[in-house]
Amino acid sequence: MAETATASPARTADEIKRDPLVAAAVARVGDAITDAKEFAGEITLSVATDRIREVATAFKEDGYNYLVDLTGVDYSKYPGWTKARYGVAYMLYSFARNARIRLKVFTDGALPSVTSVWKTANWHERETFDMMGLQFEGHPNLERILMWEGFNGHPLRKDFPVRGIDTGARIYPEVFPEGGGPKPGSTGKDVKDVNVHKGEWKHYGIWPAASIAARAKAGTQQPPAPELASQVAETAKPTEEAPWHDPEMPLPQRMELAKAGSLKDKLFAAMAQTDCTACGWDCEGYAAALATGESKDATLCVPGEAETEMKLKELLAAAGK
Amino acid sequence: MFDVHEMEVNFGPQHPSTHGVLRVLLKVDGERIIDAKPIIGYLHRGTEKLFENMPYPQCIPHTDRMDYVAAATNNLGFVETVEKLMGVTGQIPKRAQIMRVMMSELQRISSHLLWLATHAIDIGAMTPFFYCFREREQVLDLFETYCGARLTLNCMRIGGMPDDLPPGWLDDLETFTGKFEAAVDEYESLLTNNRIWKRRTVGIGVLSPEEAIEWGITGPPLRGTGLEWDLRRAQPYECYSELKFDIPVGINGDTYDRYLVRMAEMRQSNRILQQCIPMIKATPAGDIKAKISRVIRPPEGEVYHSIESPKGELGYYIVSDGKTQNAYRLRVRPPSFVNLQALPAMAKGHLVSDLVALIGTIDIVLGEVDR
Repeated sequence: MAETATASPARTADEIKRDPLVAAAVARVGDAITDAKEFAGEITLSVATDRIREVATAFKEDGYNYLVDLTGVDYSKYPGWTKARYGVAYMLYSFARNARIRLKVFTDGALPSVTSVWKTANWHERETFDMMGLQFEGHPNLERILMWEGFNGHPLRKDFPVRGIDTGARIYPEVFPEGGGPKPGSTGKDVKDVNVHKGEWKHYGIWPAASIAARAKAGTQQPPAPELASQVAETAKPTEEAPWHDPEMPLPQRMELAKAGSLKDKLFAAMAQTDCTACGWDCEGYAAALATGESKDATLCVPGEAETEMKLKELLAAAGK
Repeated sequence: MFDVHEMEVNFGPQHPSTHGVLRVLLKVDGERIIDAKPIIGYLHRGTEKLFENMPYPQCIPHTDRMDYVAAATNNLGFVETVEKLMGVTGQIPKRAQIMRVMMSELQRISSHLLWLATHAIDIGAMTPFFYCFREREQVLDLFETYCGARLTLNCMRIGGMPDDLPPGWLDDLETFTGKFEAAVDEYESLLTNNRIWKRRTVGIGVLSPEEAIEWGITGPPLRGTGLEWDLRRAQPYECYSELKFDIPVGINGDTYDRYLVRMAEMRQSNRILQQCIPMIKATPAGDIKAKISRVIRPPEGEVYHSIESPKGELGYYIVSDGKTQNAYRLRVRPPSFVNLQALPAMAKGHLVSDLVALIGTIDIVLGEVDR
């Protein structure tokens, strides 16, 4: 019963194509099938990207009338990968044969939709678009499905960080209060349009894209694109005045360097040193704001996490603030 | 005077009958639904992304949190897929197989009981809720005695089970299975011939087998249309091929038939459990884990494997690059997500109050829809 690929000598692509499970459909659209593989008793057929709809129809008419699943794979970090970046896998099942096969196409970003072949492909393709950013041409409403409209990124791409990205509340506190949607009027969008909306058959998430412009208008500082803290970290360099300004340095060492400095310097050293601007300032600016009493909230340093927060509170308490 | 007056109404996400955080944007003409658009994602936690960044054994507790009322079947689908990828499916000891089946069937009973309790209360029948939770509590107690958790069980491991059954567990199970059939009779006496229940469910949300396949619907909604298809029978895993059980099917594919199918499924699960007790007594105690390496590093390849969860076909698709202890890509095919897609087609033309019945009859868990 052990279904290993090594249990029997592996079949060649041509032998797999002659397998009774797929032979009938392959006879119709064989020229669109570029490769065939077998692993753990499962057949995978690679299909030319622009002909997937035709091949899907052929298989559906051949009895594979149930599209079990449709999903994408981002191969950009796959060792030794040479084909197009994304793979899209179609799991098919035939009730008559009680058998499964898998079709696979490779693409750099766009491929034909199969919603006209199976209705169930609709949400699967929307999810793949949402998570991978693949464009399914001919899809009736290719909208985001799990993430909200206006979300910046495609989470299942390999270059999207696991920790996630900051989606606004910290960067734009004047527009997006923590834990809430836009403040009335701050985005130029009427508050009644955020929840109830007439005429348009679409919905708004909690993060309309108007935020960067709104921040620029508020004039506090240069609007940072919602970048990742890890990318920003590369720009943070230690200087002569602030030798602790190095995100790689552990907190005790930073505090040691700032031991003789002013309260502002100590607070500055307690920050995460990434200059991520999640608090609304760079690290030095936030430290200055805390030292002068401009800001009373010591919890704004996101990358520093609990360590920084506790240190800041300790320093402020010691200074009697 | 009698003109059409369309209105858009938000149904949920904080509506008690949406079973979590489902939001449906309704276009209604009075009480009649013209169009419905489910809006999901409020419970999205990026589970698939997390899976890619942790070794296989660490993924198991995360699978609990998808369909959080059926954690055991989530565990089962995941560990079986990894075992298939590693090619050790045939090495799982008999005792572990039977224990897995027992956990899954207990889970099916508890999931269906929760479904029945909430479905009935949504429609307005208050009493079944208390009866269902009485038995569900006993199932959760059994889980608690086995693995210490009641909901997020984390009760399976790649290659077998984490622990042998505690002493006295089988006796408790025997007591439960002996009484459960009568309990199902009790629920049925409350609802099956209840005139109000029938008025609210017969002919609501009718699906034909062809439509159901087109929408990819599986599980009790598919069997409610009359198609006798259950993965435990069609593509048996573990020791299901040795067990005797029937696959209940409906005739009309409406909400009432789906109710009957689930009621009958609970009886069949009970029957399977009763068969498992003498079977497991015949296996050597402690033989619960296959001899596989502690470091799980499967070969390069891709597999899809699915099981029959209480909600339908629960599938896992793993792409492994053969170099690391993590999955390169791990996709979950959640039954609730796919079944929910047919909601607009089922709801069109019905009243808003029927939508509540339809959401209940699809039996969604938003943790699984959004992952």
